[in-house]
Amino acid sequence: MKAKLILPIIIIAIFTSIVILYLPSETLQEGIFGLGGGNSLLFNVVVNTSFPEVPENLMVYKIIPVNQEEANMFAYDLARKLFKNLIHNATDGEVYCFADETSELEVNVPLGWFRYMKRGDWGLLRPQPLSEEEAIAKAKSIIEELNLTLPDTVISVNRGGSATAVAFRMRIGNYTADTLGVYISLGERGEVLCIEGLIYRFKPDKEFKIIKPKEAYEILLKYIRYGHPPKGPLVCFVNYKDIDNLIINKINIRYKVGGGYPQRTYVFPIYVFEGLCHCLYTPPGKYESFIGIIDAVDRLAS
Amino acid sequence: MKRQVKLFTVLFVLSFLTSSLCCMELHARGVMGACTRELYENNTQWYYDVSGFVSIIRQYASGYSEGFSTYNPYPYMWIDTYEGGLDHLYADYYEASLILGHAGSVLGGKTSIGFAPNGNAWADEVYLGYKTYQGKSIFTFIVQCGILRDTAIGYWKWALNGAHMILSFKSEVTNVTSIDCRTLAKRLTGVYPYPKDSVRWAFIKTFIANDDAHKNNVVRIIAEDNNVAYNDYIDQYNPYITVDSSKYMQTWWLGSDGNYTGEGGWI
Repeated sequence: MKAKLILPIIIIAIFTSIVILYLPSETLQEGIFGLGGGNSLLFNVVVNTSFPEVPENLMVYKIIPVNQEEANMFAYDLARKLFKNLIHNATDGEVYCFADETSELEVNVPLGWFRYMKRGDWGLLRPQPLSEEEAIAKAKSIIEELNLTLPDTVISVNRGGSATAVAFRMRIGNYTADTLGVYISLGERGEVLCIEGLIYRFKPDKEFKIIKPKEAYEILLKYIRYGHPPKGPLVCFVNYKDIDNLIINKINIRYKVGGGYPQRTYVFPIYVFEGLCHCLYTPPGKYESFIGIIDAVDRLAS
Repeated sequence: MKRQVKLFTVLFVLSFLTSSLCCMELHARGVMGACTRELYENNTQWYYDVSGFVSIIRQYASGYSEGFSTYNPYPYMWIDTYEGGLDHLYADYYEASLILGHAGSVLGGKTSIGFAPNGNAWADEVYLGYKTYQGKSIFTFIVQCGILRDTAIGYWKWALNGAHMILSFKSEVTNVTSIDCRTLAKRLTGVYPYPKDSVRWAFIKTFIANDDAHKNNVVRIIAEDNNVAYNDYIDQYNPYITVDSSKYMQTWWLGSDGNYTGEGGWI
């Protein structure tokens, strides 16, 4: 009797799995995407901050694509200022690359992004980084020289490691953009190791309803636990998995560039959760810098 | 008569030398690319990226005349022959191999290459390089999340058995552009418009950038020694380096304010 029951159950289970596996579904390349799985165990969370006050709605901005002529002008103008003796100067119409013996510049038009960096090895540690004031002054003079100054930016400095970094992040309303801006890494004597930035222009598109911070927090926890659903809207990214202890020190709204493939289409608001995490199996007491990003646009309501 | 003998000898030696030189030049290198079936079914773009990687390396890297790409890889393609796999026909048959997909299971800190839905290849089942059965692997690129996390290093370091480098990630990976593998191949080979880069820098520059797709990636590279880590190009390396128990590791990421930060040392 039992055997008679088990066989149909197995057949139904196999049939159901096949149907689920091959169900047509829409894949959204919008929002956030990672290649991660889920946590295998439960984890503890400590929130050392309060949920921020957020407005009901926030503006989503539409990116105005850089046209070929503008891209050309931007790339060659920057190259002319940065290099004296070019040994490499090439473009395929989308990516522009320039190099001399010591540095290289790459301008990626579809990604709206440029990077100038020192070639070869950088040295891994710089024991005597520039002071914060020196670094800001130096970085400001560089962006002025290169005509990369942005109208309204938030300046921050990060010292240590391979470089002293100065970030000029764009401000959109009361919020900072996550990567929109110019980032400069300086060596011990103030030499430029890297300049990076996004070259997007954008215009207001539409106001969207924003999910509440608590909802974002719940989404974060859900994603840490289960990972991205294999199919369906993708709204979250965390930089580490297998977390057993999470300490959230900062929660705020920022703007992020995204949507579209490969050309970005929108600048939209995100929740950024920052703090520390301890991952399963890592030595006791060792913590990693944690970042969790959640799409703040309520896509269902919008 | 004597002159004829001498001439014949000289010609014979010359032809021998020329043919051996030709053989050295023409030694067929190969490249393999794999996109897991799960990822392929999610978006075919991922597979085009991987097959594009193979195609670019084949066309533009010196000596790489063989190539293979698949959208339905299995663990046996990376698992060593002595562990029951067939890597000598796949990842260890080709000098360069790449796999793109979601990482596999983690057990006690040990990570695995994911082949969903076909299973995992655990770190201690992977042995690559000329010291293994019919092995030829030099570089393996594992574009999956957290493969080289701290706790897994002790397992992965033993995978290098003549292979020069495993290039992967400490963190979760965001790879939203679906052109990264092709860009990596272009950087490795110096395909227009990119200048040719060392293997290490090509990987770092491709997967870490201050844009929204790549800013949170933490790249980690395990190399047989610091010489190969610093000096290897995709088609310029010494295939038979000394293998010992100490390996060299580097980790690169973008600091919170956008600075490239690296740390490295012997493990």
